[in-house]
Amino acid sequence: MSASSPSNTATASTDPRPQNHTWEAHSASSHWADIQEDADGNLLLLDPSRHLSIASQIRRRRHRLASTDVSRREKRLARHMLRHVYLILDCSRWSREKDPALNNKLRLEIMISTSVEFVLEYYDQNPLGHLGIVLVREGEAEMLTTLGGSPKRHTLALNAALVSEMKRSGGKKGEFVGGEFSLQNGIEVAGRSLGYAPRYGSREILVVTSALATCDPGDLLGETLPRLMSAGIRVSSVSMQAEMHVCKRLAEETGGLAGVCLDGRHLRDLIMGHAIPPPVSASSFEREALEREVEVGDSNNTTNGQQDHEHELVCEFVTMGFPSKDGRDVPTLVHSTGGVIFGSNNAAFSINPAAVDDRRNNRLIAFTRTGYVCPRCRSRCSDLPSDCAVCGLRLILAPHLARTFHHLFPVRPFEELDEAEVLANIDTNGDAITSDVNGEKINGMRGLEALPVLSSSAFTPLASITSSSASASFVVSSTNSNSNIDIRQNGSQSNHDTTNSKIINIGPSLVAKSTDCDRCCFGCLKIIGCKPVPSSSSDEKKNRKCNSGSIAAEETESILRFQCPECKNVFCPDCDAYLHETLHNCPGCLCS
Amino acid sequence: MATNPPTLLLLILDLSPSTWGHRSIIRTAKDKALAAKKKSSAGPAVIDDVIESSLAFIAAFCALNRDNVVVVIGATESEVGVVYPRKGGDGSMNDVVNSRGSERVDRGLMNDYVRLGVAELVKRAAERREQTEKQREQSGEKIIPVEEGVAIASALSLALCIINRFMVASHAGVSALSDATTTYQRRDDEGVLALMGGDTGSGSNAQEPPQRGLLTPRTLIIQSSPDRTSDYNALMNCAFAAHKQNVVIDGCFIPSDRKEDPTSSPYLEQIVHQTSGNTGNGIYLSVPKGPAQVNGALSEVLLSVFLPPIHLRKEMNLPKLNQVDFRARCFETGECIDIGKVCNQCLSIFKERPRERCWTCGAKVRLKANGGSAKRMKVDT
Ligand SMILES: [Zn+2]
Ligand SMILES: [Zn+2]
Ligand SMILES: [Zn+2]
Ligand SMILES: [Zn+2]
Repeated sequence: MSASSPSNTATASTDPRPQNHTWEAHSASSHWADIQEDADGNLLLLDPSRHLSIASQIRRRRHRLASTDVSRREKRLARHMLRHVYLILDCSRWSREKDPALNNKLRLEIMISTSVEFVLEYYDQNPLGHLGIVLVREGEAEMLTTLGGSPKRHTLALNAALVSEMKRSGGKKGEFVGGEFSLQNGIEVAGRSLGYAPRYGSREILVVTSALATCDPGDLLGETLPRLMSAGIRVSSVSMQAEMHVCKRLAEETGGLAGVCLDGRHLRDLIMGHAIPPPVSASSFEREALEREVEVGDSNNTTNGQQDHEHELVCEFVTMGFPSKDGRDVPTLVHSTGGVIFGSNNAAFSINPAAVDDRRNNRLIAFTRTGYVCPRCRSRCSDLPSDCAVCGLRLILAPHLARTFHHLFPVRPFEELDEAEVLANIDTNGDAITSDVNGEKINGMRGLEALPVLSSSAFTPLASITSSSASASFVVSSTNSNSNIDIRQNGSQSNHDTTNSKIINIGPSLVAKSTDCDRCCFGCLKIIGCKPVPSSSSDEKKNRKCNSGSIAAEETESILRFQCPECKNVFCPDCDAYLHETLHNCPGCLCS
Repeated sequence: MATNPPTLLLLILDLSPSTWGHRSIIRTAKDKALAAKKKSSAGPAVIDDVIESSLAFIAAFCALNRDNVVVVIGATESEVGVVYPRKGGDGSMNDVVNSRGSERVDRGLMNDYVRLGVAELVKRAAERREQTEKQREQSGEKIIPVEEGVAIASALSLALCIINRFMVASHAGVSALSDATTTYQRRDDEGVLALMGGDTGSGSNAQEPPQRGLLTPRTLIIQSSPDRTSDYNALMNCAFAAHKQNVVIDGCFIPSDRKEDPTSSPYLEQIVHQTSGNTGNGIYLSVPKGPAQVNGALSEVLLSVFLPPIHLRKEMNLPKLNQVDFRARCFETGECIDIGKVCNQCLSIFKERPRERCWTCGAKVRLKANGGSAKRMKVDT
């Protein structure tokens, strides 16, 4: 990674000179494509001539996600559902360099914009979580936001920080704006605050660093690390430049993850990966602590307890309030976190600015008509989820809990299906289903007659359908010659040599199961698992001949099919990503 | 005022044969009685009414903007299928996504496909039911029958997949080739400083007019079967995913006029409320019983309530969702509670703290013997 540590001449963002270095040129960024990450997170330099096809890029991405995202694995894991996370951002001089791997933008800029996304994603994934942000610059750590439950507050603070930091580096021209980076100071500030976080939640620190060295007042590994471990704090790091041994070491010791970004997209992947709640790790210390607690707690069956803890879950019950919504004719004072309140233009104001350094972050006051009433002390607050400003009760709504259920019941990872595999015509009824050739609808008509509920007069005759579907699209599936794909050939296409390619006619038939048509995504109807035939029929054969060479070399994404292990439906790569990363449902499994 | 932005409408139709079968029986009986008194029908809507009015609705929707796109999804008890457009043939999904052809909705083709697709789905569902009943007779009543209700969660998941495909085609959405949060990536291109000028609040994006060429996605669910309790989590997942992508979900519930049938769908209410959030864009309507459901009145209801474009809704007097039941219930006793104990492993809610093990996940309860103070990080630097 020595290539990424540039000389000092190019640090200032307002550098008027044209590109002096080859790596600043746009073409130079292609070198970065040659660096790949293996399964363990180590970097490999690939042969530049070997460029990955789209299909293998997707396979790689899935593999990487499977190795980092625990929900992609088969095992069911216990996770920290109530998290307390500190984000430590490195704003030292190292972050004020243009990075060729990040589209020649300042690392600071990329880091903060990605952090804003992380904040939104974090609260989306962990509505019951708390987050705080610490900035490190000039060798000192500054608490930007304290642990709290309002994404708005963090994003506002981050954007304001970016403006002020950009002003700094714009104002003074010199490479030492921002000073040195101090990991120990950052971790101390965050760790002290985390020490007060309740035990039932996780305690985590995520360090995003551009520095290649840390400038510490003491011995990080000797002094801070043991205290981190005794407090059960998990330290993860994402490096924007190169790996620092101390980060890796901290991550290893505390059960966190350490990663180095390859480019902007990978950086985002790495940081966003931390938005997913980590598994409850039985790190050596934590088990010890639990055992000690059991000894104190239920001394009656100490021997039992100690054995159980090796492989058994321990849970704790947290008291939470489910407030009711209350509307009044006259606006009244409510506690607010300072976000924009709908229906009122009044900005929230603070009663006591000194009180902001508190875990309960809704210390501001606003006038609104509607508010949520704390079931314990009847005080009113405007935003949920939050902690009650008066009695400290955690206030949530039932849907907030539902938001996190997908971490507990994830969609099982899909398996890649071989191109030659055929699902169609294996109907459970035993009798062969009419194929999708030419969109025959004979079954549909029979259904009409069989069903007394429907008035058949509402339906148009068949003729209109069959005539319009005459020009169905063709797809070639290049499979082995001994595969048993049913060959559907139109009369005009019969001159094709079908030794190593079959033509599948994709008609307009209905797909209610992947057994109806296994060359079409169950989710979005994209045609998959095959390659399209060039439409010009005259020199089609020629085209295919010359295409076959290039296609074999470069696999497009359309050949990939992924199958749900439960419902056996087939999905395209995009739906696979969408179902696992955003939706957390399998449409096929929901209807059986 | 800007012109209507092109919209992508996902229409989900409840085609459950058992629900509609019951309705049709009720309707014929009532109609006979009313015809004897020389009155017009006032019975509950049957499937023909719904299909007719949906087609009328789609026709009106397409007339709003020639770039509008419609996808119709049918759902039965145990199956869902995209009824229009189809995977291949003329006006296939591929063509629609890539906006090939002059008009994006071929109305003649759509009418045929919707009618035939509905027939096929209903027929398959009926056959399946027959088969399970036959099997039950043979094997001696051991097979559990198909769950009542309709696979709305599955249909909605399918709809979101299709919306995602359209978004991927316009370089937003979740693609396998890019990272999980490409929705944000468009902002990234504009630079961070531009981003800071605008409001970065999550809710405010919905009101901004979309960029050129982008379709504004929306979903309309027309449901008449009762809710399925097993679908709750899946529906909430859909609602959160839709909210994240600014997909507005509208719900239309068509109740029957029997007393024992539900008059509303609480789950539909909840997901409409979840996706609309504070902006109040989503509409939920439970169609009134009686003559409002027959003789073309259903078309009128659909047209007047659900047709207006999303950005005009706040100017209009449309049905509002006031009371949504979000109360938490104890997982053990089922009673509504204000303050509950929540398991930190599985987030189950209990009124009373279980003594030894969590009832849901079976984890051992840790006693709060020596709280957090012992584990605090000591302050000495
Ligand atoms: Zn309170
Ligand atoms: Zn798909
Ligand atoms: Zn499945
Ligand atoms: Zn539990």
